[in-house]
Amino acid sequence: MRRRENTNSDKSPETTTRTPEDSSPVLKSTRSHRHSSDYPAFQFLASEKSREQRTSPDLLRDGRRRHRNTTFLKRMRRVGLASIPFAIFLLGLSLLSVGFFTYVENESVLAIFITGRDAVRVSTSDEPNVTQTSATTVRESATIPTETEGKLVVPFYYQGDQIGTIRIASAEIEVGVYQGDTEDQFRLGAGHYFDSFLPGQEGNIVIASHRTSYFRDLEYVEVGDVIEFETTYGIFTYVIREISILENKDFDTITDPVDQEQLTLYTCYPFVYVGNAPNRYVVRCDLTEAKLNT
Amino acid sequence: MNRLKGALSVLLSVLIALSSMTIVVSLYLQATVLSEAFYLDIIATPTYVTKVKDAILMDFRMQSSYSGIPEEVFAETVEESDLHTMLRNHIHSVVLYLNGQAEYTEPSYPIEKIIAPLRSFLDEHAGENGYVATPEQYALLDAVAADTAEIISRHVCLIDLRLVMNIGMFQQALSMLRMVANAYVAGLVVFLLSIGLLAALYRRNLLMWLRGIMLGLWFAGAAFLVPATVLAATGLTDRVAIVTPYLKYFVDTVLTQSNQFFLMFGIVLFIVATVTLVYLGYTKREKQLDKEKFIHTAIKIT
Repeated sequence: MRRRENTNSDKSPETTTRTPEDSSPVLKSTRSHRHSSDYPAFQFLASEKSREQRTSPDLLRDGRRRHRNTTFLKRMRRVGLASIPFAIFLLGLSLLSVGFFTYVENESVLAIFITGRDAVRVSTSDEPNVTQTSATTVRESATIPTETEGKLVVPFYYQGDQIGTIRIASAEIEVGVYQGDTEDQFRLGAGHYFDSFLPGQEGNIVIASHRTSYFRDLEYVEVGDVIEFETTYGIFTYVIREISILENKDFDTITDPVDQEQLTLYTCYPFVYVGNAPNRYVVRCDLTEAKLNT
Repeated sequence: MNRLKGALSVLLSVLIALSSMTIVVSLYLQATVLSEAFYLDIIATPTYVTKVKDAILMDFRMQSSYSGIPEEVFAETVEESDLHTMLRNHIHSVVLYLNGQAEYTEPSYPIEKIIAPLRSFLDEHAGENGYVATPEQYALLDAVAADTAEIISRHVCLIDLRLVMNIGMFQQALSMLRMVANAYVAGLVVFLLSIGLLAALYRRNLLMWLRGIMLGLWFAGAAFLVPATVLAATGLTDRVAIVTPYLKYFVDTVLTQSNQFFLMFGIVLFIVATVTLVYLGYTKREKQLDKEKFIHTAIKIT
């Protein structure tokens, strides 16, 4: 800055000339000179007017005002230009922040901890398309032993979705069946063991609930009683084949795969017991009829 | 020479920015993550303990389904005042551990407070149904009481350090946390040193000295303000996928208040630095004009 000022002061004598006619020191300015173009006060000093006029206080004040008016816009422009790098920095930082938080929300491992987005349901091998394919395969090879009406299309149920309703008229049981067998489902009704089959898929369909709530009256069912399982894709009717009491350690036999379609209902046993019940009450049923939605 | 001076000035401004950021982060850790008062303020919310109790009662429903003991019997075993005391003790223990001042102790609900009402229920049930409770049944009941105490303790345990305290990465992160939390002194020293060096660099130019400081503070302010604003705009801090109401409230509050902390410091630093820099820009220009006017006058006189 100081260097520029020195340069200006050095240049000034070069741009001022004395005319032979006038012995007084007159400043003759060119349009290209920096001071002349920048500051009207200098133009005023460089004019051909008399010395008295040039030193007049009014004119000097007027020159200063004009000088201020013209330089205001230049100063604004200079500030504006100086702020460009700062604005770019802010813009870059904003874009980085938006990108980072969008990544966190949608792509990163943290995404599953954020609600209000579609990807909350974590993809697994049980994606709807996969299940749909297996359902189609089952349909083609299905040999449901009794009357079958309509076309079997088993939908995919997410954890917590309602699959349907089970009705056992002989024990006056009517309970909603939900996907999954955690406490969340048991609060609502009966829970379908996630890894077991669904009605119509020719496998073991395992459903459980608490002995103190929805399956309280399961102790009153008998072999031969009819169980109706109404799902979102059809109505399946079963007949109770076997009732057994197993110890906790034999739990695996409840979920064991079978060759033909079987509905397995179970709950804790004894039904009236203070403390964690040691046994399981297991009801196994065979499919007799399937009415599929058209 | 001027270039070297300019480069030094930029370097010192960067140091000012980094050191001021370090001071703010250090203050944040001291005032929030490692502060007992911060957590106690959150649990002091009137409905907080009620939310904890509601969550416990919800789990008691499950316990009731498995054990055949009515929910009301379990509900008798827990008092809000006990929960509040446990929460305070737990937070105290966690903060001491995080600060490296004591070993972590898990919260544990006194099992005696649970056993008595359960046994009372069993005796009543036996009397009503015409049987005498056996020692085996009492032993089973004690197991249920232990499970129940575990449920209560689990809900009181806001920050379950057991899950992470043996993980090497957590210990590394914790030691780094402590280091940064205590780095405010170093940050302050670097900050003041940088200011001093800038003053030495611009001995006769107060405006340039101030400009160097404000540039550093402006970048530090922007670095806090912009991400905090974007985070607040996205509302991520309110959308943490936690189902349990009291835990969601706790985590949401911690995240929101942390963001507000950085937002506040960002705004202050950013505005102060921006206003000062704009003012300095004008002042500098005015000073330059005055110099040029002086030269013009000198020319005029000659």
